[in-house]
Amino acid sequence: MKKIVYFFLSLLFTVQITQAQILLDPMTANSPAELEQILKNNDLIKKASLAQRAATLNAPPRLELKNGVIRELVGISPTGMPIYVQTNNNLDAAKTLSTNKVWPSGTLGLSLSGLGMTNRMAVWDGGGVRTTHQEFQSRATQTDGSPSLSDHATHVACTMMGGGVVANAKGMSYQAPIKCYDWNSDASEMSSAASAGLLVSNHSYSQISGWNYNDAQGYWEFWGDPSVSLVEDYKFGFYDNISQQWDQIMVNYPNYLPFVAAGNDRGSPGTIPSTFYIRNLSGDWVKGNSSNPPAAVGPYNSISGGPSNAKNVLTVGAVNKIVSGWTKSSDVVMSSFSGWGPTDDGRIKPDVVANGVAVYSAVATSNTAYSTFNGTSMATPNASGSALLIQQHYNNIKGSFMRAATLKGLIIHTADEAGSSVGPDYTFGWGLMNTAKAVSTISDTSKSMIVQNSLSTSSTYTYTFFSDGLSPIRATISWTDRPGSAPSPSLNPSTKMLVNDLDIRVKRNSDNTVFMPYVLNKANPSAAATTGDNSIDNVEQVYLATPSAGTYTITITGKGSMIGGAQPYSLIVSGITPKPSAAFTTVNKIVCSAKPVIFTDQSSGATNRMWYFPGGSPATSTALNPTVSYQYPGVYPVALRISSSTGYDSIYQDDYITVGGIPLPINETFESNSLTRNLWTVENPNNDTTWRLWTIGGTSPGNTAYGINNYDYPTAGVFDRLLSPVLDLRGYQSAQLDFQHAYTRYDNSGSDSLIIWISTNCGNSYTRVAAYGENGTGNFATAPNNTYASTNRFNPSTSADWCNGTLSPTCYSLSLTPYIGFHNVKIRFEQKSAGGNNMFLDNINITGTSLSPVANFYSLTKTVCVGDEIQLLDSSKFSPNQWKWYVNDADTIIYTVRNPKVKFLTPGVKTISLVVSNSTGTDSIAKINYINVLPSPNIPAITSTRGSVLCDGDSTIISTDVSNNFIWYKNNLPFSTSITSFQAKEEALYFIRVMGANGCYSKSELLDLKTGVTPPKPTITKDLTNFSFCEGGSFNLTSSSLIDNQWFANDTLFQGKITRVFNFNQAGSFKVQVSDKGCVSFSDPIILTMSPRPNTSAIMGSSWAIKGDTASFYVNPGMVGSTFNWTLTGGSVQSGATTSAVVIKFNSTTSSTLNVQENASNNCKGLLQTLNISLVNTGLPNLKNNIEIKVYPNPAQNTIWVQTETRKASKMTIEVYSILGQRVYSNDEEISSGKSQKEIDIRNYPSGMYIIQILSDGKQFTKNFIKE
Amino acid sequence: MNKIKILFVILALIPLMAMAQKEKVSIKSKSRSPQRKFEYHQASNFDMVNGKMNVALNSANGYLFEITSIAVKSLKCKKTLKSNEFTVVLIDNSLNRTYISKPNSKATLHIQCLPNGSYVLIYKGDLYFNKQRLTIHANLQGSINHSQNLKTN
Repeated sequence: MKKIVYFFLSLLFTVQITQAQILLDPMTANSPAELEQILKNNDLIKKASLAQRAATLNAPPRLELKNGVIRELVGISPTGMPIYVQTNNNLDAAKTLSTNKVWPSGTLGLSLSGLGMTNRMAVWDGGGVRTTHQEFQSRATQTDGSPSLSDHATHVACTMMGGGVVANAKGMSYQAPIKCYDWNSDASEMSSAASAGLLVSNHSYSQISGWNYNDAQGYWEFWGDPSVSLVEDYKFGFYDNISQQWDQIMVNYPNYLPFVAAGNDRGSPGTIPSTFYIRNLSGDWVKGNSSNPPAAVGPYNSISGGPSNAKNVLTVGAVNKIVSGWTKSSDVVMSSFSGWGPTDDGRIKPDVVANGVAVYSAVATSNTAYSTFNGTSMATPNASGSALLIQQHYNNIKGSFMRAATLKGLIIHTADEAGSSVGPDYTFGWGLMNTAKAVSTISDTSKSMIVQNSLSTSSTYTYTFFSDGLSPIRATISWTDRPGSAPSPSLNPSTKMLVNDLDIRVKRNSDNTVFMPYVLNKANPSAAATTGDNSIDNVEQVYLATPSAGTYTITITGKGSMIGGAQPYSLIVSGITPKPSAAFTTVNKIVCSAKPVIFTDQSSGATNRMWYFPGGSPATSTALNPTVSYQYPGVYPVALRISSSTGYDSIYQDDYITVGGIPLPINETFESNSLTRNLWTVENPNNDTTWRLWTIGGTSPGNTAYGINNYDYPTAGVFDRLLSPVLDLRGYQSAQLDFQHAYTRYDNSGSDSLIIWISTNCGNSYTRVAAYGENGTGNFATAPNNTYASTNRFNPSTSADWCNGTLSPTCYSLSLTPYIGFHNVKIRFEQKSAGGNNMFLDNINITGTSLSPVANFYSLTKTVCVGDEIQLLDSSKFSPNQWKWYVNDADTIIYTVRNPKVKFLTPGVKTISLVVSNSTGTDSIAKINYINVLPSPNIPAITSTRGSVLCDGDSTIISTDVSNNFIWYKNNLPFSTSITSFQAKEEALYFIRVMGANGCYSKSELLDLKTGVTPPKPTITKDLTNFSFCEGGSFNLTSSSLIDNQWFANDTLFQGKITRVFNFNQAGSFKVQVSDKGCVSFSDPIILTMSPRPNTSAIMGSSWAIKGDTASFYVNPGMVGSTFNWTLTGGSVQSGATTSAVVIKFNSTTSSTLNVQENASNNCKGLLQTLNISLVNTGLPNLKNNIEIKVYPNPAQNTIWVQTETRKASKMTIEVYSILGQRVYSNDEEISSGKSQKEIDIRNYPSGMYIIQILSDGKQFTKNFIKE
Repeated sequence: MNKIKILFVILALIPLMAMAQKEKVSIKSKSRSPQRKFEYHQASNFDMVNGKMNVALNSANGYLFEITSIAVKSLKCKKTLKSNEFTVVLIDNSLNRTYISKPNSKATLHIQCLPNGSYVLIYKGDLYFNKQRLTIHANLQGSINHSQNLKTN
């Protein structure tokens, strides 16, 4: 900030004048920096001279006017008169950005002021805002309790949201509340506020960079880091850890956008002072070497250090005011101090510019103090305060706030051109912010588009649109990028800070020309923007100033993998030529016969139109808003077809106009859900109090009735009328009017009266049918006089206040039978005031007994072609409410609507029959050979040599088999009548119509030609070690493409498998297809085989065992060469752990579970086999010294052998016990040494487990066996 | 001898214990309406702006606790600062309130230094919003992340 200290102007000039007293020619400058110095020096000299001359003229150097305007002496005219310039103000700043246009009084007809945007805007500054200043009106809160007030902070806040107590200090969001903070712990406070919904914040400060004048000490200081450079401060354009931190905050809170000042250091200090201070390597301030001083700053790469260089913030530079608003680029005049880009890595900064020169706003000196400041500090709140209004408008339209990237992208997209060449530059950034254009772009959804999407790795976004070539095309993408890695302090490091590199391209589909986004060259910063691949900025824009008409496709892709998995981005497109959309309306849809009906076209994008009014006159029209009359009563449809260069649209409204009146019954409740309430009208001849809807009580349903205030009605004898909708009383045997009324008199002196009239000519004349209370007796009052005497206005609240209530009379009922057979009927309830009390009408019912209908119909068209539609119109009498049409064609087709549209598929004369019915009866009519359907020519063929999808810029030949009398259509518009084939390569919808000799057309099938790009060939990764899997198992195949995967198994489409990972369990050949609009790419096939698994038998062996005993088990292997894995609980494997037979020793648990799984030599496993074994006690003493014994077979059925082997002959006792310990066999015998065996007959044993105990030579052996 | 060893171990562990201390802000109010607790969820941020240290701690439930404007010369280990040597603020985003310290109160801020160069700040004192008073006991720990010299533009 440069605070203009005019009071010491002369003194300052005197000091400065000693440095240079000669005006230098600016044309002698050899560089922009030198030019700046010359201009600054000349300025000082001129001011000193001026001060001296002004003193002789007694002309004050500075004037502060009552309205807050500042005038400063800037020259003396040739005639010796002082010349003053006048300060700008916040209002001028608003005009510069066109922010005033969106205010309630602005030209856009909006009412954006920031009202209600609580917790959405904040300011951080060097001190506290004077929140009690009159401009803030209690809308500013110093949230962090900062005690020290700051003129600067107050000034900035007022530019953002000052209320305009002094008109010239009116801020951008002049009714918005604001939270204020000082810059201590700004990042933490920003995060906290953003989590609470903050959208926009202002930061008009930066790190002290380069040259800084120490006011207290009276000398210049150079704030560069001597360890990096003695002549240049590395902080200019540098992406430091603060920039990184702020970028991260915006990633965390994607709706939050900080606005940061670009800094005022460009050109600083002007003339290099001979005396200055600089830090040494110890950080101490020492006098600088005047023979080798640091250079002046800039002009390029002069954005001050700190968050100004962050990627995601919006950095604002300062320009002069444009009071009348921008009209051309040269209107934007750069200030003398605003920082310029690029950043060290070449990014475009500042992002935009705003008014920051001599801005008038509030200050903290007092609650009514104002002052004028210069600086990017002033430009930034001009932009940030305006941005809040853009968010407000978006929320008003969309119901939510936009992302910060969208807001930033939109501001950039709609900025006014500035600088000497088209496109962005490092001076003005993307141009002068234009609030009105940004807001209009949000509103204009037909010609502009704002999209908020997310791009994942390897994905593509496309959007195709049509341009009529009359408007420029501009497409901007913006994204909140992940923070970069801040380099170590160094001079102008070139490392890119961009993390996720998105790209936008715009392709002209007619010739596949691709248009690239803007790029700048940091090596040549003053050069005009060119176009090419931008891998630096997180904003890209493609601009076509004069596009040719046709379709265009926008493509957004990302380079490499998206860090974070996906990158949210925002796309803004302008210059779309909208396709037409048909719509219409009319004020009255229920009209009397022969009364004019005005139809209003509400279509968008239409250049041509054709109206269809079956039953009306005229029957067709090409007028914008035609007037039609209908002679005959009935219910009629209306259709509208529109077209433009981008296509056509149509709308058909069946049963749209009711002519002659609505049929009975009418049950008017006057409640809000009544469909006919709005059809009642009021006549108020003297424009005084009249019939209106009241909130009442005592009737059902609801609480609404029509009433009139006679209590306050001063004039007696005045008529007020309530008129019914137009009624159609044809088709009834009888009709009746019933209604409820509520009324009381003012006093006994008089009575208001109610008269009922009826018209059969749409209200041109009326017949009186009933009158109540005309005799002044009030005999139709429903509430007692005295209750509502002169002090009470009658408003019925209970049923007793209405007719049929306590007082009586009964509710009235009138016969309308004399008027049946008429249409255009109206009933008029006329109230004649006698200065009484209020009168109410409710639940007006008009009912009738229908006559039996008389069927009839007609068609405006009697001759049609095959495939064309005709409209059948019902003209039956006496109000049918059901219709059944029989139309014979190839089959008899039945329609059940009132007025069907019919399409005939076969030629010939057609008979139409109609059956109508209502509650009274049914009638029918048949018209033989009523419609003549002419044959249509053969349907023409349409072929495309390349099919309906063109890949990679390919073209196709489209042709037909007809040779004459045809019309080609492209995108529903006539294309050619002469060529039978042509080449095409852009997306479009084609068909051809051929005309026969009888004037009938036939239309071909539609060819919807699409263009796409063949995606990269996908590869498949398997989760198998080799190319086989085991029977019973499955495998996963993973495609290299993240999206659009379609799997094929054995060349057959695998339905439903559109996923990246394919899980399957059958052998075969597999491949995956990826596609882009039909351009496909297949992977190489992968062939997988299934290896069989062994079919292992069940475990053979006993399901019973003795605790502590051993037993053998085995399985029959499923394959040769297998190994086995035996596991068990309740025991341990003694032998054969890897073979098909195993010996188990059981422990003392009650059960054991034995498992085995076969592992075949092909690495496939068999099914797990399991045997549960119950373990029991023997009931016998546990003996030691076992002998060798074998028992076989086991299990056994009839006989069991006991084979023994002993060392010496001995007596052997063999006993057999049941599992319950019961001895069932015993035998003693002498055996010789060696082997012997004994047969035991077990045929008669019950099935189960038995224990054999052998005692021999003092040794004992126990074995169990199973008797089957 | 064993007691000496134990004492030595304890003394040696004190810094580690301090390092292991979790940051915390406790809020007590004597008013009838309950004051929700400060839910800790991320480390505090220490920074230096124009030669003064500021510390800020965001809670998970809408609080922001700040100690600001601690002069560099006051950053001495084991020093206890008086209330006029710093400012404390508790911002409650849920209720749009800011509780502020008073410069002439009995609040204290004790500074400890850890071997790794980070600071432990222990605050005890009262904060005020209109007539409501909160008694705060806060323990913050960290090292200076950023140091900036700022100026307005």
